[in-house]
Order: sequence, then structure tokens, then C-alpha cells
Amino acid sequence: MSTPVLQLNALERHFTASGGTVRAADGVTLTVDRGEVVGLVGESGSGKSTVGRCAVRLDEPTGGTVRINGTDVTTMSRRSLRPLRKDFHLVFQDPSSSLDPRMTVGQIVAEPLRLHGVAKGEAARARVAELLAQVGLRPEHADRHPHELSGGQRQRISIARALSVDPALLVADEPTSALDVSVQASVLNLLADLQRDRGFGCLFITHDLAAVEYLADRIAVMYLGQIVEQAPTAELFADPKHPYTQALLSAAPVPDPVTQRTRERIVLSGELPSPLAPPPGCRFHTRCPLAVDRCRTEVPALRTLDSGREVSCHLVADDGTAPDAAAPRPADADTSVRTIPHSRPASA
Amino acid sequence: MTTALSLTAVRSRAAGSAKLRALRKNRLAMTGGVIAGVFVLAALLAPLVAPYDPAQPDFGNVLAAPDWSHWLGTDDLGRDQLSRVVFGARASMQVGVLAVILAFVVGVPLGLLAGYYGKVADSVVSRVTDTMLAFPFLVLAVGLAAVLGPSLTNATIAIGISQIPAVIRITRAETLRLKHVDYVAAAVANGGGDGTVLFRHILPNATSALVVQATVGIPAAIIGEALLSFLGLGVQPPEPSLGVMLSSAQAFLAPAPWMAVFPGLAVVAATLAFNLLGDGLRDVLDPRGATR
Amino acid sequence: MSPNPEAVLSVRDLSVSFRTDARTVHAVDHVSYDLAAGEVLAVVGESGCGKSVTSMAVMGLLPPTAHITGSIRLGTRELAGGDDKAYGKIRGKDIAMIFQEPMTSLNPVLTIGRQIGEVLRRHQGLSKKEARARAVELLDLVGIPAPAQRVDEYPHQLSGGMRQRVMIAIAVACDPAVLIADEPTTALDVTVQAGILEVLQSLRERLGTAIVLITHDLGVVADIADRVLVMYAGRPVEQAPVDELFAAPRHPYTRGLLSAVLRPGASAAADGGGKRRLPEIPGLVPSLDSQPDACTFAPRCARADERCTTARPGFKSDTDDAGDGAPHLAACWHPNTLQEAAQ
Repeated sequence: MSTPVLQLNALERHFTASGGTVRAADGVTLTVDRGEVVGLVGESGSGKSTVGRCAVRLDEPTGGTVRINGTDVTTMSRRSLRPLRKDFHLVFQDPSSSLDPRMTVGQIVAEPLRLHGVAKGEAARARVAELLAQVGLRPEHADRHPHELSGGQRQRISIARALSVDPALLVADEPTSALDVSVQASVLNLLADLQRDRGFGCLFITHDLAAVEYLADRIAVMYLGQIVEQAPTAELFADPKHPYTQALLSAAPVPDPVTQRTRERIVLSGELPSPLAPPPGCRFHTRCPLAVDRCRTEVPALRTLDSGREVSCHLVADDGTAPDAAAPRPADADTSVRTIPHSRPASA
Repeated sequence: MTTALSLTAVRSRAAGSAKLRALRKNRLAMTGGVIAGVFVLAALLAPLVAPYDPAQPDFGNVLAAPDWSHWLGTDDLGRDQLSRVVFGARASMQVGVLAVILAFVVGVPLGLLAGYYGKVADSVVSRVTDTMLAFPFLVLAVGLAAVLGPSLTNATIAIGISQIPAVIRITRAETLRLKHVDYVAAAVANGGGDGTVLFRHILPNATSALVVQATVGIPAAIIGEALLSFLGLGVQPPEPSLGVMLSSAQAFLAPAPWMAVFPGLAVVAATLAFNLLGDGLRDVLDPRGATR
Repeated sequence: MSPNPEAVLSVRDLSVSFRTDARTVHAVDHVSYDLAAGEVLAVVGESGCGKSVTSMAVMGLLPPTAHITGSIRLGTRELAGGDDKAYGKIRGKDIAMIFQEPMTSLNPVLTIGRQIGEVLRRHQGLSKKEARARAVELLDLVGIPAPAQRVDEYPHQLSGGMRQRVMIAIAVACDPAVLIADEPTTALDVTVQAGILEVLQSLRERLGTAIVLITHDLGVVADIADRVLVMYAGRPVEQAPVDELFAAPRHPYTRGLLSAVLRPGASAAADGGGKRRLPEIPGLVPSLDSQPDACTFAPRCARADERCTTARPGFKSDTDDAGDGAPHLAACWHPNTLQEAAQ
């Protein structure tokens, strides 16, 4: 097997804040193989963006290692890292802030080419036209400024820039969250097409479960700085093991009123605990409808199940038998869950 | 709010030339721009514009009230006031522009350094800036000019130095802000080094704030020059300067009020003009069109 | 259409335009809807479609540069053309609004109890003590745990979801007939969103509040709406009961929107794990500078013919409509027939 394009090993990113240490990422281990799309899913405050920024060294990890194409880049200086940056790139969430408003589209897309000495002058211009065509824009867009284009077009430019030097790894941090529904679809299609054609590895960071399901081969779910479950996409959606994953999947409303009305959803009680003082034991126990005493004291390790999937929950057996968070045993569970058989007056 | 956002988007689509149009629509800014333009022209073309030699006394015609031959009257030595105001404006503009250039040449790199690298560089630069800012601008300028000795060049240097802290502060603030903007992170991710980040992304995007600072700096320098010359620390008589003219007018306020009124008006007009222009530019010079 | 006498809120031919230096932007172009007591109407569309401006016009919150025509009736009162003074009497009392970002709508230096109490004292003349007691009740109503303690906390001590609950508590403090919720869950995580939708649902059931829900999220629409109004480029394009809209959309834009939205679980089911392409809507949203006598969706529409580009389609129900209950309206010259739409 070839070297993974991205290997994170026990990655830690702690920030010192006035109230103590914020554990934004706390022991994240994750690999992205060549040509693979790995989805990193979590809610705000889960640390998923921090992991993404550490992976491309826009943020400095405070522990663990980051390897890109097998090279340890964790502590490499900014200067020595520069030539390696040809191999990995990032697409940001908000295309209106990630493109320099004073530059033309052509200059923006050509910047990596210029910095890595790939192409200059006429050659660069030709390459830019080619890239713009690949992301569905016209050559004359090269002379425009970002503010003259729509949100979807700007995100295409961001993608063209990221892929201009053919990186082996693309980290996409919520690339569609700032876009309208119909535009989201076209950007996801574009990412899927480009990924298939060029075969780069992709870490796709999002809170949008439907988007990640469409694009990713494998999904890792983060909660409060840690990965709680990792599985191939189809398996995760068909059979989520971790109670948090189950809650997350059930909470996302389905765009179909008939289905949505009959679905049971798990409404989590309580709040996301502060990453300044994560709860002892399992970090999810304060909101978990199934938590037992053991969960409050003993930290569950991210274990590999017999099926090869990974999950960090005491209640999941090695053979993959997992409890159903929607149907808690009333005896030993907190009353923190209410499943809602979605009442609604029959006629509006 | 979506409303505001979509409206901005609609508006910004036709940017570019719209910026100029917006500035032209702003009456106050345009008035300021025109007056400032007159001053700049007068300064550049002083020898052609001025009807008389500003230093040539005419003892047969001292303290003459404004009339057709001397539009702004004459002073205690019979010198033509209009010619002296024109040449005085030239001195003012010279100090204004050169002092601001000096402040920017020193202040912008220091501000970039402090804002971008932070840590020790920032502590040192910020402490010095704070100390300098503890003195009011004019007090600092007067003190420096006293140390350097009286001359137009030294006045320019003194005023330029006193403006450095403000330039550092604004550059540093802009750098700090822009450092965390996504497109700067994107430039790093592109493989850009510090030079690319600072000079291709941060500095160009800081220009709006810096242009505004310059339009504030010029009138401040004009007032500074007038004050220094008034105190005898700037332009030396018989060379004309608005400050020198005001200074010598003191003794003749009752018999020849025009000696004080016209140079005084010139200082006020120049200051106001540049400030109005600066305000207008501040509103217009946002790359995305409008920020309000 | 004449105003429906039974509706708590009745909007007729509402148009809003903004005149800027160079041109006039027609943000809303002849929108009409009725809202019955206890009903949830979702107003759906992409950014710039005018869904927010419509609601701001109803609330009288647009800047004076906005030119508003048409009628907005709340119960028997006509709101259109009302000044700030007239609106001041009804805003917060008879009609209330919550926004996407609760933090900017709350005053950071006042306790949440004070902020809820303020509305009660202004509109209902409660004493300080009564207002506080009522504030605790309201916090309980919107599902905030330990309301008696929370009432003395400041906005920054609460999470985003809790703040939005506080905003809802303030909005419903005087038991308004109509609540306008502008993207109330967009800034929130899905697990928190589920809780907020539950609160809105219970308000409608327990207080009979009619809700106008502005959103771009069709999942949220499916979850809570009774009826849906779809807007495109400032104009209404389709309006129908929620089930009918999702099952049998008539307007090509609605069809495009519904097919572009991702459905969890659909990818795997589609074709044995292979990635399918998501349907896209080609082209861009038109500028709002002109009000062409044509269908504004025509340039992006596969069905468009000459009529679509030369005449504006009426917003009407088709003759082959089943005719049971709320009407299904579409502004299209070539709407899908029911059989076609159901496929």
C-alpha cells in the first residue's frame, strides 16, 4: 500500500486562553489515502476546522505529528515548508474572504504557479485559462475582480487556485456552507468530478451530513476535539454506532415532509460543554441519553471493532452490537432524551 | 442580514468606475478636492501665478488695503500679500507633502513589522510609538524643531517625525486585521513567503486606510508648519510662509487686519479641503464598494 | 385576490423597491399570501430572492429609502404606509420577529430577565415583579432549563441555541398573533436546531401562534411547515401545502431546487455506491433592476418558449387541480401537470 497523503497521529492543538487551556483538538488520529475522500464531520466547537488548519500547517499543532506524503511536517519551519506546499492546499469556507479583493481572478489563480515556479507569463496565462475552463468558468473571467462574480463562481476560483499546482492533498473546509442550495450542488459536483479525474486525496470538513455522504468514501465524526467514530460512508449512515453519531444523523431534517413526520429524532439535552473544561470520562456523557456510571469516569478509547470500523464508546461491543440512543433503557439511563414521534395536527 | 447583504452585492457589481462616480457625487469631498487642487497648483506654479516678487519691499506702499493692484493688500514692508500667500502656500504644501512622505517611509515598514511578526518587534515598536503619542503632535513637533534648529528643512523633518507614530499605529492595526483574513492564509498555503504576504496582499489592501491617513497628515503638517514658522522655528523671514505672515501680522491687527485674515483663511481653507477630501476617500475607497 | 377575512395576516400585491443612485432595485415584486391562526407558512428561496425583504416590509423595518406598495393587513388593521409610531404599538405585541443571529439582537449589558420584562412592561403594563415572574414562565415555555436562575444571566453566559430561545421568549412575551422567524436556525448546529424547531412547533400548538418561517433549508421546511411559498428573484413562483409541494412541484424552479437539495441516505440507495451527479440549475439569478414582462426564470428553464420571454405568467391555480383544501398556485406558462409532477 502506498504512503497516505495525510497522516495525523495523536494531533493536539491547545490554545492558552484567559480561563485555562482550550483543547480544540485533543489526540486526533486520521489518515487520508491517495485518491480517497475522507469526511470530517462535527458541529461548531468540535475542532474539525482546527484539525484542517493544522493538517496544512496554517495552524501550529501543539502535539502529535502531521505527515504529508510520509514527510513529517509538524515542526518544520515556515521557510522550509514553502516548497512542500505544492503538495497540499486548502479551500476555505467563505469565498468572499479567501480571494484578495485587489487582485484579478487571473492573478489569484496564477499565484501558486508563480510562487512554485511552475509557469510564468504567457504559459501561466494559458494554464489559468485551462484551469478556469476546468472549473466551469470562461477565459475572460481572468480579468475580473472577485467582487464582480457570484458566490458560486468565487468558490470555483478558490478551487481552481488550490488545484493549479496539482496537489496530492486538498483540504476543503466547509466549501459549500456559504452557498445557496442550487449552487452547493454544482460545487459538490465539480469537486467530485475533479477528484475523480485527478485522484487527489481530500479531507472534506463539514457539518452538512448530506454533502459528506455524497462526496466522502469514509467519514470521521468529531465531538469536542476528539474523533468518536470512523467508518466507511455507507456503513456509517446505515448503522451509526456511537450515540452521538446516531443523534447527529437523526437531528438533520430530511427534505421530505412525509418521511420527516414519521421519523424519530433524538433531541440531545444540555449544551456542548466548554472545551476549556471537557467533562471527565467520555466527553459525550453529559448529553448522552445512554450514559452509565462507567462513562462518567473512564475515558473510552477509539477502538477498532471486528468489522474494522472505529468507535469510542463503552457501550458498543467488539462485534459491533450498539445500543439505540432513540430507545433508552429507562432503568439506568438519564431522562435526558425525548424522542419525538413528531406530532402535528392532521390538517393544517 | 440577508437584505443588507444582497443590496451590497447588487451595488458592488458595478464597482470600478462607480468609485469615482461616488466620489464625484459627494459634494463636500469634491469641494475639498477642488480647493486642495488649487493649493497644489498654486504651489507648483507659484512663480508664474504670483503677480509680484514676494520678498520685494515697496516702502512707498506699506499696509495698503486690498485694491485692484494688490488684491489682498500689502504688508508692513509694502510686499504684495497675494504673492506672499501664494508662495506661503508653496512652503506649506512642500512641508505637508514631504513630512507625510517621511512619516510613511519610516512608519509603514515599522507598522508592517510590528503587526506581522508581533512578539519582540511589536513590543519595541509599540512602546516607542506609545511614548511618542503621549506628547501632543504639535508639542512634539515644536520640541523637535527647537532641537534641530530653525529652517524649512528641519521643520519638515520635525513634523514628519511627529507623524510617524500615527502612521505606525494605523499600519500595524491594518496588518493585524489583514493577517487573519482568509486570503492571507490562502497566500501562505499557496507557498507564499513573508514578502509575498506583506507586499502583495497586506500592503495593497491597507492602502485605503493609508491614503486616508495621508489626507489627514497633510493638513496637520500644514498647521504644524504655520505654527513652527509663527514661533520662528520654521521658515525664516524674509522667505514667505503662512506662519511667518501671521506672526508679523500680530503687530498690525488694528491698522491692517488683512495681513492676518488672508494667510489665516489660507491655512483654514487648505486644512479643511484636505480633511473633506480625506473623509470622502474614506467612504469611497473600499475595494468592495461600500461598507456602511 | 381580495384579502381573506379569516387570515391573521394577509399580504396583497406587496412590492418593495430600493432606488439607488444609478438604478432601481425591485427586491419584492407583487407578493401575496394569507396566514391562518396556528399555521406555519415557510417562505423559501435563495439569497436575494426577496424573502427577507418581504418580512421586513411586513414588520415595518425597512429603511425609508424603500418604496413599498400593496397591502399588509394584520387582522383588520392595515399596516402598509404606517409610520414608526403606528408600528411601535403593534411590534412586539401583535406581531413579532426573530432573527438569524440572536447575539446581535440581544443587549449585552442587560440580564435576559430585564430584556423580556421590558416588552411586558411596555405593552402589558406589568409591574417589575409581575414581569419577572412572567419572564421565568416564558423561559420555561421555550425550554430553558432552570429558568428561575437563568433569568438573571447575561446573554454572553448562554450558548447560541439558548440565546435563540431567549429571543423567542421575548418575541412571544405578549402572545402575538404572528411570529416571523427569519432563518432562526441557520446559525445553529443541527442538534440545537432540532430543539428550536420543537419550540416553534409547541408555540403553534399551545398558543396558536401563526408563524412565517423564512428559510433556505428545505429540511426545515419539511419538518415544520404547513404551507410553502417559493420565491425567485423577488417574485412568488409557487405556493402549496407542504406535502403537495414536495410530492408534486409544479414550477420548474421548485423542481430544480428540490432535486438539487441533498438527501441523507439517498447517495447509497441511488445506485450501489456509485456516485450520482447532483442535478444543477444552470445559469445565474437575474439582476433585479428591471421588471420584465416575462417569466424571470425563463433564461434558466428547459421548458421556456417564446411566451415565457414575452409575457409574465400569472400566479394561479391550474384547472386540473384536485381542488381539496388550500390551493396550489404556480407562476408558470408550462407548469407540470399533476401526473407529471408526481413522477
